[in-house]
Amino acid sequence: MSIDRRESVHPIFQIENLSIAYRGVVALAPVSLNLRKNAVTALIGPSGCGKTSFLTALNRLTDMIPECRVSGRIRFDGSDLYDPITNVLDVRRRIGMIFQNPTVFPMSIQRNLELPLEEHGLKDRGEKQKRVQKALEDAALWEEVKDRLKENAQSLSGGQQQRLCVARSLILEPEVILMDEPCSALDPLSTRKIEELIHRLRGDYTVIVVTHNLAQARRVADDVAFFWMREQTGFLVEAGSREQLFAQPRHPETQSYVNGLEG
Amino acid sequence: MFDFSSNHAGTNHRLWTFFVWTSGILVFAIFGLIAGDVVWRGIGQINLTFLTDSPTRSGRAGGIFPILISTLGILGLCLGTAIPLSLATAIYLHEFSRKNGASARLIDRSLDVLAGVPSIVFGLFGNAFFAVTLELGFSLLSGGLTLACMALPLMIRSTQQGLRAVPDSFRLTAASLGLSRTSTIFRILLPAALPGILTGIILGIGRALAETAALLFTSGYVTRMPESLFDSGRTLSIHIYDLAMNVPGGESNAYGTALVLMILIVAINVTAGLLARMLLGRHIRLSFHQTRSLS
Repeated sequence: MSIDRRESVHPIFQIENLSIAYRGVVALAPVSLNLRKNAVTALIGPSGCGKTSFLTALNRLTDMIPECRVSGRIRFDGSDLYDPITNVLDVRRRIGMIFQNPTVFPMSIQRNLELPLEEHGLKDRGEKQKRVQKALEDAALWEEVKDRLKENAQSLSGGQQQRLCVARSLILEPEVILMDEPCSALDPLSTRKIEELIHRLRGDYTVIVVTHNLAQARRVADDVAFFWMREQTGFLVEAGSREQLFAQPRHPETQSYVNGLEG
Repeated sequence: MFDFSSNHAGTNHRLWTFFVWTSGILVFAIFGLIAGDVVWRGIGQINLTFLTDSPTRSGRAGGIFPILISTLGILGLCLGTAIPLSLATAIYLHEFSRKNGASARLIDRSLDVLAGVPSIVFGLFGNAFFAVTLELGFSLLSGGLTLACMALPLMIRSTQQGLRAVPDSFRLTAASLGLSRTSTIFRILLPAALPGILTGIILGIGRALAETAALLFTSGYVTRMPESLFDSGRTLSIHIYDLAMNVPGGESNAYGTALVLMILIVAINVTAGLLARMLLGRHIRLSFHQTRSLS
């Protein structure tokens, strides 16, 4: 895929000079980047280089962190994400998020899925039932749990819990799914299931995934953004298509990182 | 490998075993003696008429019905006031106030002081404030509100601990699903904190049912049936105190009342446990253990 084609596609996120500081210490130096709609973008780089901060700024989860300051501008689907009139709850419905450790609530599998639905105004029982089944099917979990929907979700295995988290995001019919190292707490088999899931989401959803695992980035990503850090401050080195970034990186840091020489 | 067979280690080991076992037996013996004494001397007093009759001859004869009603009335008032207040305060302290902010520190300190105040002082305050200033007089209302003040620090602290035990990942995940702050608190945090909240309520009930000193000044000690919350009434604990100390020949009924009080407390604890199980399903303990070990 050529650079030109990349830029001709309508970006879902247009990020200009996004910078993040905690307690006045800059964690991420200004980043400007466009993220393509319905593509899988992997954010790679060593620990502490601001990937996760960058990710949490995209659904304004940074609002939840005390003394975290976000500056610059993010346009999501054309409108300013940090505009005071932006409805944050609605933004977070449209932008789902999967965390490193699967977090299911201590209630039944079904309640875990219905709770966000009800919060966003769906009361009809039949419709809820349908959406629950569809989300579980989309997350490749339906066959395993269809007979135990009333059981506590925390009785599921770690891999199943993570897929339940994916289902819980999908049930809100989001446009974007953010994933913060979704496989780092999982065994290889569960990891493969999540990666297959990402493959199936491609084309219908925009997926932005933070990963430490270069092989994973190679397997799942269309585009890759490479972050690096200097004196405690993370910054974006370069971004491009997977082929370009892995085969012909423009920067020496990228080259040594993707070849496993550093980081 | 440790050599347990060596003489020195063996003596030590036996000594410790003896000490640990004796302590355990001693604790059980103290409980057994008290409970056994009350049951032994009280069981003969208890029958249906004891529970449904009014006391006669200053309580030497007759039953404890009005006293039971006053007790439940005061307890209901205490919990009805203290539970919402303590939930709101704990939620404010743990979910809204800035950590180590001035207001949170002030409230925290006040709670510590409040928890250490002797009950007789609460009684004096309750008398001056509820009975006199607010003109509630000697009444179930004055007594219940005074007990609420005493139960508040216990219940706020337990609720805080319950909220602290809820992993932060729950809050972040709830936010990432677009749940509002209110829904997050009522549908996720409070249910998950329920074990702590219930502990607080049980401690509060225990403190309220055991109280005598504070109530002498506030709810009074007349033995007749209260007709409204503005009437004076006597609780089980005060009845026991009065029968044992001021009424010669009231001892057997004091024991009967004590047994009723003990049964009441056990019944409330068991009900609270069952209620928690019903509300949460049986997984809650297990699930908390799991989430803790993950993080």
